[in-house]
Amino acid sequence: MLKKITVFLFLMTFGISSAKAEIRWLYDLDMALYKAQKQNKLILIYIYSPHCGYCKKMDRTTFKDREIQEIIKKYFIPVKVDKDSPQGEMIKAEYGYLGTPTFHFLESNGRKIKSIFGAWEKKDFLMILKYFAKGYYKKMNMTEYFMNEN
Amino acid sequence: MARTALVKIKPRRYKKGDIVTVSSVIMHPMHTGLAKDKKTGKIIPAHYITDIEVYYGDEKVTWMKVFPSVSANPFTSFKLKVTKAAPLKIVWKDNKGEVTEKVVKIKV
Amino acid sequence: MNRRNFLKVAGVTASVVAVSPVAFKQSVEAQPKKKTFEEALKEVTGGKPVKESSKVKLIAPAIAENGAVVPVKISVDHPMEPDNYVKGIHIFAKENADPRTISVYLTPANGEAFFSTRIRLAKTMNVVAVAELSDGTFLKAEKPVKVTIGGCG
Repeated sequence: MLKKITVFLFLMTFGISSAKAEIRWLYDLDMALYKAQKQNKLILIYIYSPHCGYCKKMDRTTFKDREIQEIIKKYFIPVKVDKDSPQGEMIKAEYGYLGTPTFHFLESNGRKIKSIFGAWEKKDFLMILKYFAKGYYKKMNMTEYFMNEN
Repeated sequence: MARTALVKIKPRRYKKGDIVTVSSVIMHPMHTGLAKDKKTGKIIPAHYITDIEVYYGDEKVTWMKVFPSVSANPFTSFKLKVTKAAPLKIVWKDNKGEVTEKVVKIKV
Repeated sequence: MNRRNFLKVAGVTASVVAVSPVAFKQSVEAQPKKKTFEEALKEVTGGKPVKESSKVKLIAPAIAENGAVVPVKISVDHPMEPDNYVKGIHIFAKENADPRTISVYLTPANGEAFFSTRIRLAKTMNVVAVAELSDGTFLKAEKPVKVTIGGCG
């Protein structure tokens, strides 16, 4: 019995520590706005389609990366919506839609900063996230930021 | 049939001997001839700017050979040394033979 | 100055032909490569050697959010005198079906060897700027530009 409990606790610990890094996507924008205001974070909306290979690729690679997960956890409230769901339609109508994946970056009050289209390798998506996370978006547009190679 | 084109000189105020930046935009789709119309499935025929020429007075000072990899609504920018009061004329030609011209006066 | 400000200042209200990254990607990838970079380069240099040079400054975004509109700026640190000047700036997109994008021919009347434009990149690739000097030599600079892996319409 003690062995079973030990094994159970061992597995639970592992389960918790690996689950900790996973991105905790919200599916509701209102909840995201509430949390963003409370925690003073930006909002990252990910509009995806279960049929889009590029979204699956992002989910399998970029979003499984530790650094990506950490920067999202620290600076963003992440929201993930299916483009064909009611929430997805609302978000598409309000913020726009470029195809899947579309990423909308919002300030905590819901004001859109910028939208980005397409799947990205981890290294590149990390640089894009940093542009928002470190506040560069307030000083220059994204192209200028990358022209200067900050 | 000419297209909408804009030419801008920066800075707005200059004198003889200054080097100014001449920027221009021409509204043109720059169809590469490789894309399909989503509705009909047919290839959209190639339609793109092929040449740009710049005349300062009578002299051809700059010219460009343009390929379809230039973005739609081609934007180009180059420098010009102000040496005289004369018209600066930019001429755009595309693969269908359409010609657009735009003239701005260099005043010194 | 970026395009939006330029158009605003110029008072343009006419609709701009917007090219979405998705639409463009489909168009450029529709056909196999027409020309290799080496062939494209040879069209310009005639096979003459091209030397990497810090005199050629190529500015392009390390990451281009929209592969259909990638700004590039080139400056060449070289005189523009009647008998010694930069007579051409050639821009290549190495992996495009036709790597040639634009060639601009300059004269001493330009005063400075500078050129800026926007090009289309079908995918992540290197952009190469080649400066052609009046003495027949060629100098170059090269930069990688990342573009999205792709997406679905």
